[in-house]
Amino acid sequence: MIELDAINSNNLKVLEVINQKTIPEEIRSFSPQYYKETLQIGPLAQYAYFNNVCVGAVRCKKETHNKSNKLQILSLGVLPAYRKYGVGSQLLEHVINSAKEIGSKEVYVQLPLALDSKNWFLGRGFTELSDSGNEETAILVHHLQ
Amino acid sequence: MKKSTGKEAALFDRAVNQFEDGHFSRSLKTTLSILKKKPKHAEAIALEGLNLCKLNNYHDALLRCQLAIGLNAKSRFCWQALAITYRDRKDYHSSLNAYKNAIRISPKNEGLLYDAAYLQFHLRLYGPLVQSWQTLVNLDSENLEYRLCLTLSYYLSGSYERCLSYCTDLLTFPKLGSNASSRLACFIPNLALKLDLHFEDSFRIFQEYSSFILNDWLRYEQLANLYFRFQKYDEALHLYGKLIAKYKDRNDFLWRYLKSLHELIISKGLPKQVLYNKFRCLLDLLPNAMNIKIIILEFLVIANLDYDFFLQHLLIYSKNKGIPSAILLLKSLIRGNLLLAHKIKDFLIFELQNTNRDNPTACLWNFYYLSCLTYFTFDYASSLHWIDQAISNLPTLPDLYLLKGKILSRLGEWSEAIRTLTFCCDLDRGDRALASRLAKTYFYIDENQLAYQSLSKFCKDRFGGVPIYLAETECIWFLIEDGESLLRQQSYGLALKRFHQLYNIFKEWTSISFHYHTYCAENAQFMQYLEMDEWTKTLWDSPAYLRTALGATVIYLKLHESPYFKYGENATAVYSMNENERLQFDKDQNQSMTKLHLQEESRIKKIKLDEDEDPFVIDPDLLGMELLETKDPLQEAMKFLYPVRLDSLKGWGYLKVLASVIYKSKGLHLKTQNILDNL
Repeated sequence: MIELDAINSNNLKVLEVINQKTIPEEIRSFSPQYYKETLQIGPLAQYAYFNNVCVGAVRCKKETHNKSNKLQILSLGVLPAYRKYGVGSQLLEHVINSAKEIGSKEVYVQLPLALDSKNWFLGRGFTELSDSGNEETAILVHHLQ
Repeated sequence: MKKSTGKEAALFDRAVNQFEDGHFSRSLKTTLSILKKKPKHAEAIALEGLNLCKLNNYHDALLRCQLAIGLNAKSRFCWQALAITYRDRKDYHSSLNAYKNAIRISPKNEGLLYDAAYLQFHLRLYGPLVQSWQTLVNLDSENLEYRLCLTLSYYLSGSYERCLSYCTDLLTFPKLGSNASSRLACFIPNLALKLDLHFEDSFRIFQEYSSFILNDWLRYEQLANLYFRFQKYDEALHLYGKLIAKYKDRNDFLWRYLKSLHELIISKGLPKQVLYNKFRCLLDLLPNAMNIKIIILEFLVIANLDYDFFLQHLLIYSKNKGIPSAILLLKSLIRGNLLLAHKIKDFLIFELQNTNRDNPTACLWNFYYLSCLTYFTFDYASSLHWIDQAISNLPTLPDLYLLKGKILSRLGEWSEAIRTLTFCCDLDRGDRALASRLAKTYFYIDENQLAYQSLSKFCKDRFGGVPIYLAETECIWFLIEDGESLLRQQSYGLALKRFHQLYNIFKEWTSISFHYHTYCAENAQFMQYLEMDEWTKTLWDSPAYLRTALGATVIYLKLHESPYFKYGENATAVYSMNENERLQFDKDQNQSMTKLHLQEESRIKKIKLDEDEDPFVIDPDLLGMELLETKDPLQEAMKFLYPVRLDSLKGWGYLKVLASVIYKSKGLHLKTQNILDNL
């Protein structure tokens, strides 16, 4: 059974642990400011619970360009032992629903290719932008209707 | 209260009325106006004392009442005032003595007899208690409360036949309400038990009075217990089955049901498989009742029957449902039965290797259970291995780090334990239990300030900081651990402070029961009264209090042996000083303590209080130095030892030895001998 719940000041450390276990530090590291700001973004950061234990997390950022909103996924991770149970998909579904609620036109992620998860996103309605400007990173976009 | 005559009499009457209406300041003012003109008016002085008492000025209240007695020892009013003052100070023995003197002057005063009787209840003076209630019943035989209290006092004094006779009379008493009748009727079987009646007599009495029991389920319970007591398992089984269906959480019903079933199967020569099938039916009937699974397993283990199926059922259920506490509930069984421990271990390892691969949370709980199991059997190295496996599976769960911290503490790896527990607290900063565990570990390594820091988030600010707040909120484990740690560090003043705070908490809990004597007796809640009485008796024998008594006794005994002991780690240096140097040392100590005190006062004054908060209480003896200056350390130690039943306590040899040394020094040879006989 998968449930999502908000991140608060008491359990913020768990996000750090999930990021450390799912995203190698040499690929991407997160500053203390990143965690501090997580408390201010409400439903754009969520934990995922599988059978009542916290196994995953997503953290997004809202961007506004020329009066249109975009939502960037800054991190999305599920602990290795709990993959392939639909946890990541449920987190992604939450992100897309949140994007629709705030009137976003698209959701995107700047994905380091070293993470080897491009196909996961592509299989869930994301498309790759032809020019990311960086050989090591792919920009994957999900357009919302 | 007695009315007087004359001009002062009118004032006195007014003061008495004001007192009785609860206007103590006004009553005090009126009384003082009498004393201006008649300074030796004994009863006015006594009333002044009473008002001071109600205004929490106990010291002056006692002095005034004692003065009043000195002026007129034949005044019932004066003795009564003294008795009330002692009672409000919780000095119940002195209060009772004062009431006795008042009763000698007015032997038929119901108010005095009544108040004295409740003190006798509290002090467990059952012989005089019966006499008091008998006198009151003779004075007013229609008073229901008197009759109820007399009935209860017969039970407490061991006069069960009289108690039974009074109970059965009371059931026909017209003023007795239906709820009270029902409770009395439920109490009667206890009397049958105490009187050791045969089944036929017990059953006849039950049938005669069970109609008073209002609730059918209570009636079934009483009847089931009666059948069970006399080994009529057929009838008992049927009733307990009904009761379990209604009260699934009542483990006592369940246990008796299992026992009845087992005994019936043995007596009828049926195969054990019948028993196991019945137990399986119970599991199917109540599939989510965890307590039933645990109790069945406990029963089978204790009865030396085959429990494999039920053990596996319990473990599989718990793992699938993610119930970490399941293994904790089996702790005492595992510790007492190595074979059970092996079976659990074998099963869990089999599950790990064969069936858990596709279920990550079941795998997690497998690791956790294995870690707990090996922890319970003191195999800490294996326990550490398994908990690390669990943490690899799920590094976000604080409970795993909590267990790891405990294991590392057991292995003596303190810095690793602290690091792990700090990380555990970081994962859930709102969990007080995790912070408490970290604080406890800091106490084990005598890092008291770090312990206070780890708990500060959960405490309100007080003069004296975290320890004072936790003493206020009666946090027993904190006071004991802090006190013992301070004792190890030779901070004897502060250690004594903690032990005294603990003593006061236990005393307060005991005194709370004083207010329930009336309530239980009036409402015929005799069973509840007996449970409360038993609880207050065992309170002082609890490990928590015994550790307190031991800590305080060690310090006071050392203080008695050497006046330099109070200097703690500086004792040797002070011993070698001359008088001038010692005086200077004391002066410097006092100055630094005053400075600390002022710093703390200034800190606390900067804090803004909420509207509904009381102002901060400034403790004049923040560091416990006055406690060390006691003139009679052995008397202080005896205060801690007095409530403990040392002559019947099991274990605690060191405490008993220290107590016997103290009692012998004080010339209490009989007490000493009783303790030594129990060593």
